[in-house]
Amino acid sequence: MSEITDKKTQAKWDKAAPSFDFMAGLGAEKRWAEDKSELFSYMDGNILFLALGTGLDIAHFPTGKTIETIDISPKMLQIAEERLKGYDGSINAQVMDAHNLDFPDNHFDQIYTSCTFCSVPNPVKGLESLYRVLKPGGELRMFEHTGSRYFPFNVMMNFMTLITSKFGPDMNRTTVKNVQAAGFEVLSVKPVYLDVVKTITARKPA
Amino acid sequence: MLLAMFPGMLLGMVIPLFLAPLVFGRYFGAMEIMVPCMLGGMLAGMWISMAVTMHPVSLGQAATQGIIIALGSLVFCYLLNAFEKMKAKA
Repeated sequence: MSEITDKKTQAKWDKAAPSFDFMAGLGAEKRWAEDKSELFSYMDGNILFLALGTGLDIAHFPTGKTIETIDISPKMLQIAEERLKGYDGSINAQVMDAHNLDFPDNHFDQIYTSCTFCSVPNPVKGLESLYRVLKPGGELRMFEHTGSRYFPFNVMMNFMTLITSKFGPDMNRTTVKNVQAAGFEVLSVKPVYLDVVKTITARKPA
Repeated sequence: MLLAMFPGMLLGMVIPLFLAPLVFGRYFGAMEIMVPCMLGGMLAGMWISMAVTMHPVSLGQAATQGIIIALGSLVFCYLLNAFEKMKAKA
């Protein structure tokens, strides 16, 4: 297991863990269930999922898959234990930092993220780390919330980030641009809510 | 008048940011609550704080105007979301 050097981020999410299901798991899981299930339905081959959090997304995974998953917060993974046991397949969960993945180069066929890159402190570095462990031609499929290009939503998102980044995610990330900056080829961006919540499909060039 | 609009706008944004997920979090995704509620709060806060500096406004008038602006914001967000999805399908 790689050593976690970003103790600040780890402490933030450890602190958020007990109330995470209440804040993120009620309406969001109901409203976004269909889009998440559709995104995860493509799971195939050697799969990495980050970041697992309390395991709310496991309910949307197709059964019978073998999945490696990571999260920076050990407290989140403790809460996820019951959901991990209940999955009809195999999930191996580890505490790991997305910036510093302890997997070999060109290892995974697919990588999935769910509301992850709103929280990774250096998103391009994190995505470069994903690029390294993904096989050439491999797919990156993301369910993410980002900033907006529309006024006044972009102003609101910047304002929200001043507050939410203290205890949770950033609201104004430019994730699609970050994915491109890390070297991926973006294949599609599908809106889930406005241009804020979206699914992104990208590929590591072969 | 402009100085009054700023605190009204800030209050209108901050209160929904915390309150809206607690009240509506059971039914909607966080963004689906926070974005329209903050937009409504921001515009209503600006409008009402501007109005009270121009002439006396009763609590009932302020509440009515606030509700109209908030409902308008909800409709705007709903239509913009529908437009985004339609554009993506096209």
